[in-house]
Amino acid sequence: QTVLRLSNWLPSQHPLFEQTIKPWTEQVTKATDGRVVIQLLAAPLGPPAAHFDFAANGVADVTFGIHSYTPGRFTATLLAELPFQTESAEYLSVAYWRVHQRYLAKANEHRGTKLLAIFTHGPGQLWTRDRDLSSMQSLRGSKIRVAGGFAQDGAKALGVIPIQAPVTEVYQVLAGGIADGVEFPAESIDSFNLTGVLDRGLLVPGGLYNVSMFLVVNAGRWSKLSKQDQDAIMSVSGEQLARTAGRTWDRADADALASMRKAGKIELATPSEQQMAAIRKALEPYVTKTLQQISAKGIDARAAQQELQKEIAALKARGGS
Amino acid sequence: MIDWILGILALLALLVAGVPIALAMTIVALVGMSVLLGVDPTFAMLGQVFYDNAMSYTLSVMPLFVLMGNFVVKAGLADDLYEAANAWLRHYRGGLAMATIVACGGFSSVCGSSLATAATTARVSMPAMRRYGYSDGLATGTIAAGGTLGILIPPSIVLVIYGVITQSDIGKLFLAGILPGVVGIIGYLVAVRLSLLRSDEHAQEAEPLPWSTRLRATRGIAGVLILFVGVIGGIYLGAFTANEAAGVGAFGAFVLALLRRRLDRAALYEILVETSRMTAMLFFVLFGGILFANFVNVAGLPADLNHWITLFGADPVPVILMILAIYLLLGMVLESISMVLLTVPIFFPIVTGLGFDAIWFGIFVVVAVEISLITPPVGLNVFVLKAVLPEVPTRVIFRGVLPFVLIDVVRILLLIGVPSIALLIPATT
Amino acid sequence: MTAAVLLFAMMIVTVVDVIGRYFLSRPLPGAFELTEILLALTVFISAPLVCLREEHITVTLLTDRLSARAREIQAIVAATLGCFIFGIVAWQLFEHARRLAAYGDVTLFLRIPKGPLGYAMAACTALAALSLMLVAYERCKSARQLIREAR
Ligand code: NA
Ligand code: NA
Repeated sequence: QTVLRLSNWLPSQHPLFEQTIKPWTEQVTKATDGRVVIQLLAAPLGPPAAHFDFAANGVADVTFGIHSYTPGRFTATLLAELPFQTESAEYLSVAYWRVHQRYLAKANEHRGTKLLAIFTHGPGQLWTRDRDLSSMQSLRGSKIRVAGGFAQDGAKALGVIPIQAPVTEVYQVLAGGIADGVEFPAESIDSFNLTGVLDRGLLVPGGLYNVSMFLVVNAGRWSKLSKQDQDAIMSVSGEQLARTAGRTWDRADADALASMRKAGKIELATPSEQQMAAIRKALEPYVTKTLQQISAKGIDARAAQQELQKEIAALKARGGS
Repeated sequence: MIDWILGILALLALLVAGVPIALAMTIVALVGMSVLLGVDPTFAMLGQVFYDNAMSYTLSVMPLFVLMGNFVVKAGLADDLYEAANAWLRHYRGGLAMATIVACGGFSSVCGSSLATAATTARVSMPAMRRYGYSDGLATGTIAAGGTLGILIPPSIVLVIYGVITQSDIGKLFLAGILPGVVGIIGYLVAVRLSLLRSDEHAQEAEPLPWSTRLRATRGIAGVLILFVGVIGGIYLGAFTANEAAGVGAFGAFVLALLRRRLDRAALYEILVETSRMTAMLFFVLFGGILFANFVNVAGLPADLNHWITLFGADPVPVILMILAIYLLLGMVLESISMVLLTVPIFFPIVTGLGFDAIWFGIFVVVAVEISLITPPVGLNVFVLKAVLPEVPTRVIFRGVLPFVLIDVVRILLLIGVPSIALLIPATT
Repeated sequence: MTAAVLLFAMMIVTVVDVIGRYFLSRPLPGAFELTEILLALTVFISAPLVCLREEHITVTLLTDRLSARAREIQAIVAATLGCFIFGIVAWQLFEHARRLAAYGDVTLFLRIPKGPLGYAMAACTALAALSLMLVAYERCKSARQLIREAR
């Protein structure tokens, strides 16, 4: 029996952990008839950003995390963070896994690990307080807390001032007026309890940005597993896990939006056609720049992007399969 | 299970042998992890822990609050505070000791360290208490105990560390510390009166001061008041984060010291160097503590503890009482920051799992750690006093703090019984 | 000296950020990262001084009761052990920095490369290890002195 240690940095009630990672560990045991067991450490071994290194260096065997937490390291994964892709984290994640295998994997950015799954959360949107969201012009100069990755560039494009703050401090930063708003998927508005400190949400079709995430296992540990066990683990990982993760995020987003609509404290709007055109125009140069960065890694970024969109469309047409 | 037991025993042995705490924790963690994980991963983690935790925005709050405390000391605010408290309380029975407690409370509202509070107050209050016939036991006990208020009343370095480990909101933790801090001051005033019951206590009342003098002395606390209201009020209103409050507070104290003409280039340099050194010391303990916590985590201590506690039953109160007992025991031998680093990662999941509030537990931990500062044989506040007053035997100081320790235990039981003592203020933001 | 300037800068960065935000609606770009970098450098640059002065926090429960000679020997052991550990830490910080440089890691906003920062930390830690070696040497000298006097 092989025991693989997993270091989890999310609160144990977080949907991603509770509905995706934890069930996956059980599936691994089942698929390998108990030959491989994933042991959850009681406490994380370090900050979220350190988790890729933990797996690469063998400090923990299995970790998951966010690519943009280590800026400069992952470039190919920015493909999934581009705006206007889809409403569904499930479609995006499954398509992303497929395109990653076909195009992005050759950049070899997950060195030292075996990539078990790659996925994203739902569309990232803009949430504000006391700000007029009806035009791009009125947004200019607002202080918005944004994530790393493409969201940083996106903020520049929209003319807002990006505020850096740890995720755990977002509430305080908004409550005290240090930031006028935040970019988050709908789920996070609910899970970080931000409904009381925000009054508007701008739901851009396909999102303003996204966040790419990984699940990896230490390469040395992986190579010591038998071929049979490797195959068994991959049978419950890869595309299947990307789908589960995407669904988890979609469900969380839907729940959050439903409870926002019910409570009525946050006014939800979709951009007008004119506004949408302005947003597209503003973000376009940064999308191009990102694709160039990806191309510099020896990947045909345009082709990968088209493939991603084709896969998403196909998944949508077939209802997800 | 044997792994972490051996680890803890080895750690205690190294500590007793006089190996610095930071080193001892690092060594045990390195050896233990190498056995459990292999040498390469352990060494890789070593580099990463030192790098990541030094480059931590959240932790920058620590040196900045230490800096603020050092500026405050330089600005002479401790003298002003003591003078004001003294003017109002000196003519009561035990008045000088009570004034010391109040001055400690006031000083801790702008200083994040218990040791600094004790050392500073000792300098201003000890001579007066001696003059009026206070026994060394009561006088030093009062200062050592009063000093512990430094980490409960915000700002507080221990609360920052707790916040970092548990990813709790440091601003909320600070707000939660205010009311228990006030309760702490009141408790210590009671303890002073209890100490007076001893037959060998000859403390005399001082003659009352005229009202004009009292009012004049009271004006002297304006500086502290402005800083405290600026820093904690700013956090309360959400005008800035705990980190920003620390930076602004340090700058405010810097300006205050400048205005009082207490600060020349040499003094500024000295304060900055001393703060940097204290920062380095604290951080190396922190690095060691994080490594050690990782070791016991990988060695399965949390799971084992969890298992034992479920044997106890899932009733929260017996569990929290047991944790309190563990803290009091550990507090006898461990230094405060290492104690937090060691225990919080273990207890936090258990305690929150039982339905206790994360912020509340932070206050609980700080009060428990506070007690450890004055319990024998290792009571850091007592040692600080011993360093300031070498002629007083350690035994006498420990006897002097006894009533205060008893009151502390009462207070923590009160905190368990009435959690809203901690949660009331943060709930109103 | 350098640490003093860095620490002061850390305070000023925060104040400028806050003032900029409230009065000019323009926070200091990258204040967050600047603070992190200043903190890391302050900690590591001060480390050799702390080692040289033997100021690491220690439990003096038993050591206080030792004879002067035994205390010197205890200090030699502690300093040698410390030198060894700091040496390993310096080495591993160097390795970590090398990895960061190889990955091309940078800070989020200012895009400052992380590798060189790691090298600086490693160098300071190596200096700290050397300081401890010096401490051990000095302690050896005074121990020998004490032994000679005892004879
Ligand atoms: Na304090
Ligand atoms: Na103690």
